Amino acid sequence: MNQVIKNNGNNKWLHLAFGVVMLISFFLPWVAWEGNAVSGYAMPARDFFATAESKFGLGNPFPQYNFSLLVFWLIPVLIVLAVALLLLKKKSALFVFIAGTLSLALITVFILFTKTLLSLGVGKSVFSMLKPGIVLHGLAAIGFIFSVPASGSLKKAGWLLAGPVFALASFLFIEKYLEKETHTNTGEVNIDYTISSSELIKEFSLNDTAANKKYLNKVLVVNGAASSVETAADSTSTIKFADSTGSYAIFSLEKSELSVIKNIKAGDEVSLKGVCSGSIFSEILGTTSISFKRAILNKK
Amino acid sequence: MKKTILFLSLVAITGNAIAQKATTTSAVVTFDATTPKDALPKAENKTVIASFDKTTGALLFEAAVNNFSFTNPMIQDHFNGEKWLNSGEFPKFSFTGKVDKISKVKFDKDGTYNVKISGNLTVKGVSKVISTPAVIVVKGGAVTASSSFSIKLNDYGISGQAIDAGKVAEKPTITVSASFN
Repeated sequence: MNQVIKNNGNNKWLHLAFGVVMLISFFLPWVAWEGNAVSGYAMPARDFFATAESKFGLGNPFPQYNFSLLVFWLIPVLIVLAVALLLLKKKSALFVFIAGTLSLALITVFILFTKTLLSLGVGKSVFSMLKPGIVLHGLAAIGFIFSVPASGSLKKAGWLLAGPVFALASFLFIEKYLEKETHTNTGEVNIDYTISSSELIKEFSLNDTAANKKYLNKVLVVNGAASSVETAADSTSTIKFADSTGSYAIFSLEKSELSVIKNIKAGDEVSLKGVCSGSIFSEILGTTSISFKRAILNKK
Repeated sequence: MKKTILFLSLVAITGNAIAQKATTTSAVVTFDATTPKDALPKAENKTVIASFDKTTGALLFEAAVNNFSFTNPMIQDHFNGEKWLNSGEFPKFSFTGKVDKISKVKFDKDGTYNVKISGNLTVKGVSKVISTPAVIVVKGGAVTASSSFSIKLNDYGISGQAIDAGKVAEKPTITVSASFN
């Protein structure tokens, strides 16, 4: 009997230790992407995707659901609650299981996302980018789940696997979705700016850095008189607006527009909608060239 | 009087040289890095600037990196990202070269000529000498030049696990086509 009590006592302190290690390691660096350390708490704090996007151009594919990342704040909150309940000799198993499974899900996301960065040329291997914090947190989460008093092993194993399996399935689903995704038809996307061709060219000519920052990858409607219209046998067509200095904005039009473009000639007033690719200064022409892709004739 | 004749001669020669240089802002360049494992890394840029001097054979290209259009938004982002083409810092590809033995191309009559083009291709700030076969077609006074060649991404400082894993071709094919009227 004494042995049982002693064992239960040891388990309790071990369980508490796992909780404390989990809590501390949540705030330690989990990965370092080319020197950019990211901790577990960076996910709910929204620094995880912000760092990946600013440093490597890989952001959250669904920024509209950023709020859902807040769920990972439950990890430290539930650990504290579970530990407090345990000290008060109250039932804490459910909180432990949820905190543990969320932790293991988060670890899985960190590893899979790091693997995606690796495919873009970041780092040498996934392993080399992992920091001790993620290992410590993973081991502590497993220990925290398995040291819950008075629960079956099968149930514990279920909670242990639930997080990583769910995270892996979600990640693979999102990866497949992104691979199959195509650009939304330009006609269906919202317009960011409407501007005349002369104003646009002037803005780029005066300060290309500011203009590129403002317009790059934005959807613009540009109105003006076409300076040239070119169509090729393979349905390739471009419409250009030029100013008196020779600087110009050129639109590469979708093949679907060809039948209408055939009726447009230089000098005609047109309204074009396209995605701005920014400008380059052409050494060949000695002028500023602003290009647009996936362009269509704007239906007013 | 002599000075005037000399001046007029220079103007005439210069004018003739300028007339021999044709430009376009609608050349087409395709980038094909597809592999059996991945058909996504393929793009086209239809607003490439090019110039061609029929007298000297000088051939120049400039392509805005950001105007390569992919069907897939994720690949488009990756292509322009810092680790790949880094279009923010290096906004254009450029080629400066010439058509070898340009005198063999008769621009005053229709014909198809197999030629060799050599020069410097600059990608992501790295210049490498390339030499490739090309075809020049002269038809009704219009000149079309086209060529297809491959580049080794690693030569231009582009690497990554996607290449190692066979999802992006190690040596993508670049196809260039420009019409000069």
